[in-house]
Amino acid sequence: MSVRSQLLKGVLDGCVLSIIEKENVYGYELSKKLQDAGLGDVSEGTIYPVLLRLQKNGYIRGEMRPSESGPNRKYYSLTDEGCAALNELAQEWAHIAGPVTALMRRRQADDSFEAINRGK
Amino acid sequence: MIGSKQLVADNNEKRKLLTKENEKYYDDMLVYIRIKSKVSAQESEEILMELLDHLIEGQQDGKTAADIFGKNPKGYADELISELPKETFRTRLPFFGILAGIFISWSLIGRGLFSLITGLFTVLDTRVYLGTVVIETLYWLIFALLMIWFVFRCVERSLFNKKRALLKQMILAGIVGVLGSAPGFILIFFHLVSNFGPSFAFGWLPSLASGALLRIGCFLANKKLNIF
Repeated sequence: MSVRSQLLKGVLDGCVLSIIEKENVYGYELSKKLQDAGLGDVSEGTIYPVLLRLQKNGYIRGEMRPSESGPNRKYYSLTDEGCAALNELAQEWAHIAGPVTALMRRRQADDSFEAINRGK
Repeated sequence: MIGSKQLVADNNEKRKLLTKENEKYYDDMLVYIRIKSKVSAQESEEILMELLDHLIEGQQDGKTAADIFGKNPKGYADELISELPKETFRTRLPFFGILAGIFISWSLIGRGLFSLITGLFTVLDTRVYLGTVVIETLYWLIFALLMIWFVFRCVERSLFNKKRALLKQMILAGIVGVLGSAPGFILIFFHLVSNFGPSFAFGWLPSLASGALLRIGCFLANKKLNIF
């Protein structure tokens, strides 16, 4: 598993929830929206275990109905619990994202600092 | 809601749209997930349909099944199964109950027909001994369950291989089946289990009628619970 997909694993649930919050989507649409959001590297199939887990936890509800283009598709919508879970996730993410970004930036700065030292 | 039977039928139709390579990949996953998740056909058929729809749409964009679901179909299927509702003894009880019911109903119907036909030519002793019947039924039920488990396992092991090993596995299952059922036939044929327990006459008509009733009961229960 690539570093990126390992990192994403924890936050993919939140990404999927936030897309479903905006509009009801089915699987293929969801993967397209993730790609549009810039998460193109996520292997498309990874959304299905996530969708099953979110359904099992009662965060989303799936309903089979005809799509705009005709055939039946399973459309997902957010439940009240899902909304609460997403709020919590978003808050937690805000707490983590800032410090992590800062740490990674500092590291880059240190690297260049070391490079300068080595150069002497 | 679209029932699982309809989903299976739709699935069979839609699979024809897959390319050969994608079909092989998807078929293995399909059989594996159907075998491994026995909680409710509804849930597994719904996810299978979603995967198929996704694959068909992806195929139109020039993607292969491996591009979409990864290079490890078994690992991916296991991940999906682990996220399906958990199966416990309680949730599986209806499955085994109906399976046993169908098995017993066919035995009763078979016995009824056999008695009816042989009764035309000869006088039959239709007396049954409850104790003996219970022992024999238990033997065959356990044998049937083990056999089903074994065949499932054989199919499972033949999946996700480059070469199809199904035939070899099936021959193995056949041998195990013959060996496992032999003691049962010997017991019955030579009357090795002596008759015990209360006895009563049980002719072809009650045998046939009770078998048919039980079969209808199983059919209705299955329709309600949507297991097979």
